[in-house]
Amino acid sequence: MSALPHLLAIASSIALTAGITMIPLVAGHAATPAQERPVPDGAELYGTTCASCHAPDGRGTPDGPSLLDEGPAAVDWVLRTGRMPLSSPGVQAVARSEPRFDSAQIDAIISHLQSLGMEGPGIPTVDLSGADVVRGGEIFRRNCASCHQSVAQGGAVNGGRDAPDLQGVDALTIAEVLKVGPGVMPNFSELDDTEVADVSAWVIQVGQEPDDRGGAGIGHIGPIAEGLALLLVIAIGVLGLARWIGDRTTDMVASEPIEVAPAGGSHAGAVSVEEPRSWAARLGSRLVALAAVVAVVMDWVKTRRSR
Amino acid sequence: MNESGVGSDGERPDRRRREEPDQHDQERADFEAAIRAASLSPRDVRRLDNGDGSSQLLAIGEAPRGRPGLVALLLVLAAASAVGFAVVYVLGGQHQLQGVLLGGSLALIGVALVAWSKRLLPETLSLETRPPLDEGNHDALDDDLARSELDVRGRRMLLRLLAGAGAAVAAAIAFPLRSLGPDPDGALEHTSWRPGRRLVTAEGAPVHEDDIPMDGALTVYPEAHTDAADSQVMLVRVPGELLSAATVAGGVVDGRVAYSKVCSHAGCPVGQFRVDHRSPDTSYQLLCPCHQSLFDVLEGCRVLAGPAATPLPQLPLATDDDGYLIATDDFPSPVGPSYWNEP
Amino acid sequence: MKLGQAVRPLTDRLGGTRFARVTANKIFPRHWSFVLGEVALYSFLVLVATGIYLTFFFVPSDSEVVYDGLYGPLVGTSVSEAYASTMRLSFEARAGLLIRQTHHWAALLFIGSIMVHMARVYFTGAFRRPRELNWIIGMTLLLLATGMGFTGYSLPGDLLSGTGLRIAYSVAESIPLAGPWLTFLIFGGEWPVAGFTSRLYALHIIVLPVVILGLLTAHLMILWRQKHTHMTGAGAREHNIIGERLWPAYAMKAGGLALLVSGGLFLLGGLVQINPVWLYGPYDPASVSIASQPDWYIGFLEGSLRLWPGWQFDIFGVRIAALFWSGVVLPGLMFTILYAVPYLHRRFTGDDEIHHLAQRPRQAPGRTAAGAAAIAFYLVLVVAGGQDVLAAHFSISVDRLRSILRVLVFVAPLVTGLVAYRLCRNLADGASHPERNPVGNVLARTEDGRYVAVHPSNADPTAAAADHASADRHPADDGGSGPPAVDADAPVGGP
Repeated sequence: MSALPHLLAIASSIALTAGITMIPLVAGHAATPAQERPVPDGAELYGTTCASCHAPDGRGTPDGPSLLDEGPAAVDWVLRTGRMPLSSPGVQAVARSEPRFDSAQIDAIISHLQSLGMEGPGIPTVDLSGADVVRGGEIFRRNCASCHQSVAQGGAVNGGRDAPDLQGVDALTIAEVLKVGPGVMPNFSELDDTEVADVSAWVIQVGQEPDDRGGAGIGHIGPIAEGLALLLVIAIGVLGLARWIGDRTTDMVASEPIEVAPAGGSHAGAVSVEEPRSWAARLGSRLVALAAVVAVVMDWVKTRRSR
Repeated sequence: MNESGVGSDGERPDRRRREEPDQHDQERADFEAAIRAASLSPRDVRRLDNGDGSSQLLAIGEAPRGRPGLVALLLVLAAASAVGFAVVYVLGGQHQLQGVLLGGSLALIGVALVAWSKRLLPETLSLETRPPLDEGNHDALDDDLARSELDVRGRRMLLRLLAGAGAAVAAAIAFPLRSLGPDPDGALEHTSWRPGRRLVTAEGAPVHEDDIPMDGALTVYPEAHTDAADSQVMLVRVPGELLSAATVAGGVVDGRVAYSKVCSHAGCPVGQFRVDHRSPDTSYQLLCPCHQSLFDVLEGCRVLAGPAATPLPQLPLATDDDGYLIATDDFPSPVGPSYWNEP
Repeated sequence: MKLGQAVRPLTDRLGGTRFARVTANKIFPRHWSFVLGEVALYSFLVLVATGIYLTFFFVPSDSEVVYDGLYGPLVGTSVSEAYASTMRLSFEARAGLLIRQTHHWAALLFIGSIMVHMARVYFTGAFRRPRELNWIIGMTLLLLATGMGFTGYSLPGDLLSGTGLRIAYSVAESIPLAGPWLTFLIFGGEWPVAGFTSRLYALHIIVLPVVILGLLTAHLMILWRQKHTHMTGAGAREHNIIGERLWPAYAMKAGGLALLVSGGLFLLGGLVQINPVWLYGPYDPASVSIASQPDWYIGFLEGSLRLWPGWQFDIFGVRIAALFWSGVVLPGLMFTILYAVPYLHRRFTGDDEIHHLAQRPRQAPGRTAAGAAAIAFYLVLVVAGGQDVLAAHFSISVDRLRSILRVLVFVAPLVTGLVAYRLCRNLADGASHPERNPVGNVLARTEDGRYVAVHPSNADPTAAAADHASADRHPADDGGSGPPAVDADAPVGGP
């Protein structure tokens, strides 16, 4: 009888957990790249998607900066990583998402901007053959890890801005951002082509595919995740073991005997006396707790991954 | 199984505890209450002699209905798991599998033991009265220690000398501790920067003024001292017109400005160079990744936020005849975290 | 052959049967919270066993070598010998990584279970006379365990731990009057000090473990002499102890727990990666990673360093650095207060009696509130230790988060303390357990079929819990429900 609400609670929490874990998947599919068009018209694409913020002549409006000093590398980077166009006009946080344009369309937009007079660093080329991963790691640790974390998991720079994690980022993107220094990132164009290739190779080989020979990587951010894992171990493992091995009832009875209402007389025959909480209910509440914790951790890992 | 609970032999009677009949009555009453509360239906309740004059009450519950099959299964699995570990090891080892098999075998024996205890052994409950912690006999102790003819306490002078000699030896053996480290001797006040010394990268390449791009950052060292951790410098380039007058006076080369990379808070490398060149938020900041102290590059790296108290010292810069960046002096103040007699 | 006869050759020569009997008959309380300290003990045993294995591989040297092991992305990098040997034992020694990771997990659990054990002792008042000495030894063990953790974490010479050591160096430097001099004595010179790893090593594998072992023995001997406290319960009195004799049932459970703890640690060591130094890379004084956190037990110190404002001033020409307050004074104060808990308790309650009966937290609302507030304070500091990761995760400004945490570090303990106090009062008034004795009316059916309301505290626990069932079944009969008065005779409804 009393187990029913608990079962409902379990069911709903499992549903909730599933829901939370599904959200990123569903959201990921919401924005699909547009269908390829045979001859992209740069001027038209620019006019319909960019001009409202960056002005038809590319000189910028209060809603968006001038593009004339940005250069092809920067424009290619924001469009290819889906940072632009924004879903709505206005100053806002810019984040990686599904790209709106294919490469032909991006090239067309860049050509259009160049016809408007845009100058700046061109789209670099990266040759990863012969790249030195070891040297890339040294450069990365010295120059990049202080913002992007030593395993490229990203981190906070001040003002609510993030240095994003570098999961899924390709070599061209890395070369572009090093040349451009987008957002609050400094400019690293002092690195020569081989150094850029070295860093890219390291990010792709180590930062994106870390050698997790020791087991689950739990986010690769070190002691915070490890501490949370320990918290889980203590909360579920140690306390669970203690309560399994030890006794759970003696503390529930007061030292002094409780006055119990006399069993006879008008009280006779209390209705359906049962255990306060059945084992199923106890197991249920523990499962709920476990599910909640797992949901939070999964959500956390997922958001870190997807950023 | 001594029902009376009182030892019969009379040796060392002072350590024996006399157990009075009322104590036994009280123990029985408490024990019955405890047995009821534990929902134990004892098939046997008895008083056991501890062997030191005290006694315990022991209640043994119903014979458990558990079967040994589960425990046996767990033990067999544990053994199999241990063998599996050995096999995996011999076959070349696999980290996760080894962990599961070794941890599993240990945990399975653990589960087996707990299950054995909980399922195959009858539940028991015991009660005993705590002996007093203070055994008394203080006077006897004093008597033993202070027999007048053997008392050492009369020798005041000798005792004082003994204490003095002990202190002297203790002080003497503290001296070797001094060898653990050199005298700081101003080592914290100076770095390896000298007037005219070139700025070089970690690889030792001298840095030309054109080597650093606008909005760029570079970690540099004094030439021939790339291993001097206290001399590491964050060289950044910003639009020169944004720098405050005091910063410019501190020695900059057309927007190229250099600050100690050792945080003035706790000594971490101040590795984050945060560039925001879109007005009106234009800002150039250095941020320490360890404790998030925020420094304003445009104004002599004064502290904007965070736990640091003092600015990052600025390295005065110039260029030599070939256009390479050089330092015109050491830092004006000590680098790194503050200490009490910092000049 | 019986056991008594089997040990005859020994007892002939050494005696000890009386001791063995007393030991086998020692009564252990059955309450689950008493095994938490045991978990710490078993973690320590795992630490010793795995640690000895690791010493056979580790080379405590800072001399630079060129890494040429199995991990490709670092081959050719200049690293310390300590780092290279850590890499070697992780990559080239079969099962070496398993032992190393298990060792690290065991360290985390060791300190965690010490703290949970400490919380149990605090909240049940088990530190009161006559157990003050064991509280103080326990506190010292916590300090030493933290030292063990920090020295061990710092040994491999990777980027993360090197950063931590550099901060420790700076904290030592900030001590007024003695700072730089003391720092040079401890570390052996100016940062980065070649040769400090061998000092850390000596501390980590000899000095600290020996002291821990000694104090642990004293801790257990005192426990043996004073016997456990025990929980309130029927028949439990100040002058007795109720529980289970060590032999055989409890010994089996304890042995089982020891194996479960070590088994669990090996499972963690095998399945969950910890401190992957190959990913962090070797220490380099000019490199640093965002999200540089110490192991969790140093997190409060890290948080203190991050939250403390940059106040710096001179007193009589002596500069007091901000780091001195956040890195030395605050943790010093925290541990002093913890050490003084038995004294403070006596001071505030005037209670200097001998106690063997543990209290439930609600029986001492003031003490419980103070403990809850302390935990809240500690947790805010730990959270602050990860403020950069939090800020990145929630995409808020680090500055804003820091301001929030600076307020929270005062507000959270206050609120937690007040809530805990209120909760204790309510529970004490209700004299019931919220989980087992739901608040509400108990309906009982009389012989003639009528229903009557009974106050929960007036009914026995099992009958009290029946209320849901009966209330569910007869919602209409519940009627006005009314105050939970003891009104055994008034009919509430009829069939």
